[in-house]
Amino acid sequence: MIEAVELTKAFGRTRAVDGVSLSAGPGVIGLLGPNGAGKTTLLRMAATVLAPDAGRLRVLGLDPARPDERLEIRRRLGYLPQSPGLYPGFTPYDMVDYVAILKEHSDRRARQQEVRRVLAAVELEDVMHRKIRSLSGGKRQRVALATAMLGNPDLLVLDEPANGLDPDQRLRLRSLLSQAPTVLMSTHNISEVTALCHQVVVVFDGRVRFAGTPADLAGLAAGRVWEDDRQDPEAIRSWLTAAGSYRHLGDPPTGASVVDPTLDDGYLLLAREEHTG
Amino acid sequence: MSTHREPWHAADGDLAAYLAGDGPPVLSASLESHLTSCAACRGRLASLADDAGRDEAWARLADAIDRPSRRSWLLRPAVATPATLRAALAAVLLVGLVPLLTAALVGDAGLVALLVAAPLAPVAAVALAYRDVSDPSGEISLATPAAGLRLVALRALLVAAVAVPVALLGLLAVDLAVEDVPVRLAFAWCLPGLALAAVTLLAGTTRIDPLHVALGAAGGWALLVLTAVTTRQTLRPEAFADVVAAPATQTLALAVGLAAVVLTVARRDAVVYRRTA
Amino acid sequence: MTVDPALRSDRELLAEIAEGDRGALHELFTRHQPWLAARVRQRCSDPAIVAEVVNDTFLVVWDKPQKYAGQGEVAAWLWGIAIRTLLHRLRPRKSVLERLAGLRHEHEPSAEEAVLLAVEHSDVGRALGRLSPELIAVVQATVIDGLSTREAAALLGIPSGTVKSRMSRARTELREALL
Repeated sequence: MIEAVELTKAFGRTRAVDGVSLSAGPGVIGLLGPNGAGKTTLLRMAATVLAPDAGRLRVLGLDPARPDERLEIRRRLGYLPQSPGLYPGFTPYDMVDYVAILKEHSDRRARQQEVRRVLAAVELEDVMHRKIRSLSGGKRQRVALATAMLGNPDLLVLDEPANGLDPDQRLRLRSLLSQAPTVLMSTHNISEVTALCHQVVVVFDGRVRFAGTPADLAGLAAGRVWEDDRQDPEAIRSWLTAAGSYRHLGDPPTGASVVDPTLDDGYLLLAREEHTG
Repeated sequence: MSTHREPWHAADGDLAAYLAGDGPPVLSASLESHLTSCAACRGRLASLADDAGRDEAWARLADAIDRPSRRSWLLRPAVATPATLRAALAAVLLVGLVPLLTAALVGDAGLVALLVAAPLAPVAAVALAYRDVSDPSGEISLATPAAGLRLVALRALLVAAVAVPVALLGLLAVDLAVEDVPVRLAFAWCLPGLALAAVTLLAGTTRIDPLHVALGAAGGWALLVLTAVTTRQTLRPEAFADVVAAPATQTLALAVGLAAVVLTVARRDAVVYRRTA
Repeated sequence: MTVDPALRSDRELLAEIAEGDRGALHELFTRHQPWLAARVRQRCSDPAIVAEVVNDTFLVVWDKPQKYAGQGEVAAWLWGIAIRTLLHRLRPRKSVLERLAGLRHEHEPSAEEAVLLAVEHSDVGRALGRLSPELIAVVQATVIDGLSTREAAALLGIPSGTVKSRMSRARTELREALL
């Protein structure tokens, strides 16, 4: 569970997060938005690695500004940063083992079982003793995912978890995410939202523009999408579909063949409105 | 029954008898030498053998090999990351080699250099412990329960534990090889050095970058030493003893160091969380 | 996962193991554990020791795959490790003699099997079959297992001199049977 009230964080003059209020979870919550929209900053605050400048934040019902509660959050949290620093000279086993020590898995035998469990969950058993520098980007991403999954956390905070994964592994990601009660993940890929998320929060320029279910996001464009065999100057946005017809977004002219909206349509409409102010 | 054409292959019945351990010895002997060179028959023997037994044996083997690689034994306390070890090495070079070389080349100036550099070893240790580079997992570890003063202090201790004895050995080497170093002189820097290190540690609980504090402390210290030992444009290392080894100075250093440590422990929850940008 | 493991040769697997590839070790284990275990079992009746020897053999493979010289059958190399591990495991034991004596006893071929062997196998096989069990044991240890005289002596629990004299007796008998 994540609750934020008027959350703000600035770096110098840039307001990365600008008065964000939201209440989300349980389930998989997708933060959707273009690069630089403030998703990472929001996630870092939720993961207790960054303190907000202003506003109130509650993670798992706890306040990360209070040291004892912050420790409690960290004990129940799994975090995958945007660019997880994996030491190339380590093996995946060493890397996960190292993080397990930081996560207070002090019993050696139990830690061994846990390290093997998470590495098996991300299907890295075969390469867990190879050097990380010899692994592909997708496998490195899975090493970092494995560290986040240590100890079955109540909350997973994942920054672009599908980065570098091939389509097959993206499907596997869904079953991994279903193991945590609450997942807060960022993405700039709408199909990932469709595939993985129960709730979606759209962020532009540090502000929340939409929060709801993926169906609600698609519903924003209900009655505002039509298809035609040629371009329509009335549309606020038009593009050629794979089927060879034009898909239009905006206020349909009379007699237009209005079609069911998709998540893309809802998001594009939001983006358009944001762009035009 | 097997045929005798070349290449021959073992009969299933013979393999089964061999597996059961009741094949005649000569047949067993010829089977064994054949199995050594025939992958096909090894495969057939494997298919006749008990899979459960093999899986059990694999589980046992996997249990033995799934552990941190030998190179990573220093990681067990999650303190000595490769970057920390390199930092320790750099500190050793700083306080060990540089002044020694100077001492060998130019006498008094070398001793002064050593007196300047020695107390900076613990300061450098603390400053390095706060740096991102001392942690391969960077941001991942910030979100773990171990993040904070405990980790920083342990890393600082580790680097200092290597660098401080080296500084003392350096003084001993100067004493033996170049000129006599009074005992008072050899130990006088310890308390001021630790006090400066403690102040650097304290800086980590504030918004000030510990590295800046460390650089400031280093500069101040170098200035103090140089002023103390320079009289009428000649270097007199003995004068250092009069100033720094004086009871008042030592007491002051002890007081500052203790106060900084107490304050740091009191403010330990502010480490990292407040500072990270 | 990426490459069909069946396509990789034992040597390729060893090269992967040297890189720390656990999947390659598993593949090598799947291929070789059954016969290795069976072969050790012919020489040691204690299942706990058999399991330990096989386990230790693959641990050596995991830790020092580069010890494989790069020529000859990987299987033969594996057996060389296994038989020496077994020797090492058996050597300090007092009851070696008894255990091996029991083992040899079990291996005495019955009259029926001897007949079977005679029709089943070549001249050399037949000639071998005529040797007495203690001579067969020495031939097996030195020729098939490739042990040195001293190692064979340790495995069989007899003095080195006896190994040498039995080996020369076996050689004479074989030559007589074949010529």
